[in-house]
Amino acid sequence: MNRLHDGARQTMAWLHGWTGLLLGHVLYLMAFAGTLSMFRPEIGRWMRPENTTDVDPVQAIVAATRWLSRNAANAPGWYLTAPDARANTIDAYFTQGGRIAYHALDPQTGAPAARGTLGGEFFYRLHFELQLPYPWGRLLASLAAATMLIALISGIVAHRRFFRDFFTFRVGKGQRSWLDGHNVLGVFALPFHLMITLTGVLTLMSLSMPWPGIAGYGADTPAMFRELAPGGVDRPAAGRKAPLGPIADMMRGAQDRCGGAVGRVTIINPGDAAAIASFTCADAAQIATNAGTVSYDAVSGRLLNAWIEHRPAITAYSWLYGLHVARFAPLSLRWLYFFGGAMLTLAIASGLILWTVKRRDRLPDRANRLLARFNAGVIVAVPTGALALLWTNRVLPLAGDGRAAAEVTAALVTAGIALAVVAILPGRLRWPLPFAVLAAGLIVLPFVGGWIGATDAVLIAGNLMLLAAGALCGWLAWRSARC
Amino acid sequence: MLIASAALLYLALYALAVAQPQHGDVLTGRRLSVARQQQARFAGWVLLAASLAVALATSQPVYAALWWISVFPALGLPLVLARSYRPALARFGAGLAVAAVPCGLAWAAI
Repeated sequence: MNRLHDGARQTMAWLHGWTGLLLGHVLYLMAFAGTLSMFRPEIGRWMRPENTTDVDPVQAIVAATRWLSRNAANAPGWYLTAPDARANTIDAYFTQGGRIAYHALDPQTGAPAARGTLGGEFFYRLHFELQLPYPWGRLLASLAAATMLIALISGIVAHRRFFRDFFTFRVGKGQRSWLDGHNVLGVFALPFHLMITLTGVLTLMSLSMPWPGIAGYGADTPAMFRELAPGGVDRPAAGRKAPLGPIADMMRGAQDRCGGAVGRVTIINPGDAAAIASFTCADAAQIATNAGTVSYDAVSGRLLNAWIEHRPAITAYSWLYGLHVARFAPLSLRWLYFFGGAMLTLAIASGLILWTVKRRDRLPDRANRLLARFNAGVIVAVPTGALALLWTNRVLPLAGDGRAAAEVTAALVTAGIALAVVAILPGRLRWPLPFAVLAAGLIVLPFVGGWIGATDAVLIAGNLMLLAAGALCGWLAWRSARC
Repeated sequence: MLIASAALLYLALYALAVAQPQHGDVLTGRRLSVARQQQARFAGWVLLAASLAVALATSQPVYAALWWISVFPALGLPLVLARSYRPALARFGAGLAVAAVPCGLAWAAI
């Protein structure tokens, strides 16, 4: 019986190791970006320090639609996220020149914010789109999340002394230390890791498992979406021009029906006589993300449809979705999510290192050495790229088109260079040097651009976080230099 | 109340760590008898249950459970790191937690 158990454990250990290695680098990137996404609006505020005023969401949406009417009148739709207690700009998506454009709009003027940047939206999109074109990024993210679930479950079975090793972390013991560190990071946060992985798999379920939808609706996908969101209205454009009606009144009416704030505003066929304005209830006060939708004729302001979601199956799904994105979470819980995400990121990184350390003595071949270099390169490249994004945000001049794209390019190029440099560094410098560079970059960054004296609480907190992360990297550089 | 729950959770983890021979000596600074280890283990499980009960009594069950599984690693990891690098810090944390339990309950009552 014990031999049978040992055989199963070995099989699970093999599965845990290989699933972790094959998609470990993608999972590391996803976990890193997802952890930062917990503070998506706050990162946006830090990256747009000129925008400090908080404005009533209704006034902000009115200002945004006024600017969009002048500058994106021909777009088939405007997709806006209203500002709230956390975000002080309007996230706007619309088609521009045949491509989907993103702008953070100033809540007072409705025009794009002075500093063109994706802000926290970059990390949020990176988390599940991986900077790859649709649908490949999402499919890869979905596959990686499913692999993560397999790795977690196989890791639990493979862990022979689950409770006995619960508090064990032996320092300075080589492979044993890496294993202890990986175990501690994985085991303590295991319920959180299981929850975030399972709900993560579910968020992309319609893409990775489309067959139930196909079985039920065939090629008529719009019918499925109509049933999923019955509060919307689907009607063609009239082909006659007409200005938008009283958006403020419509939004206040939607707020009354929602029983609270409105989260997203969608204007379909703006500028057309058959334009539709749909208001989605905000989900900050509840776990489930799909609260309801209220739709108006965008020209006359006449109510067309209203739906407050109570269906058990939809609510169960959006509840699980809500657990993943945690928009409901108060500040303390968001920090705990951040901490759990950071532990997952470190567990994946330590697992990648452990994979090569375990084989270093047993199989000292070239492939293992190359993999060790590549692993170190990826582990360093991801935070270095993120740091480059923040640096570019501060040093690029405000004016100029394509500023947001330049930030992203800088991040990707820097990450690529970091990967290459770390991969060719000699072993004794492979960790201390990148950590020292990261520490210097993080500690100097708050002083760049003249925003260190700003009184905005989010800016101060962001700068303090950078300094703390810099101090941690400095300590890691010092520790790794001594090993 | 959540402060009290967090403090109880830290004490629970500390007691469960003390109950294990390889950690008990380091954390307490002296060799514990088998009977003491068993008492620590029992106390650890009781405190763990008490922490969860206090959290569940504080807010809605889902929020409380989510908060509890999220705060678990946030307290467990520092305990493990303190045990490995500075055991005195882990002891200090336990002392702080003992004081935080009544403070948290009193604050909630006010």
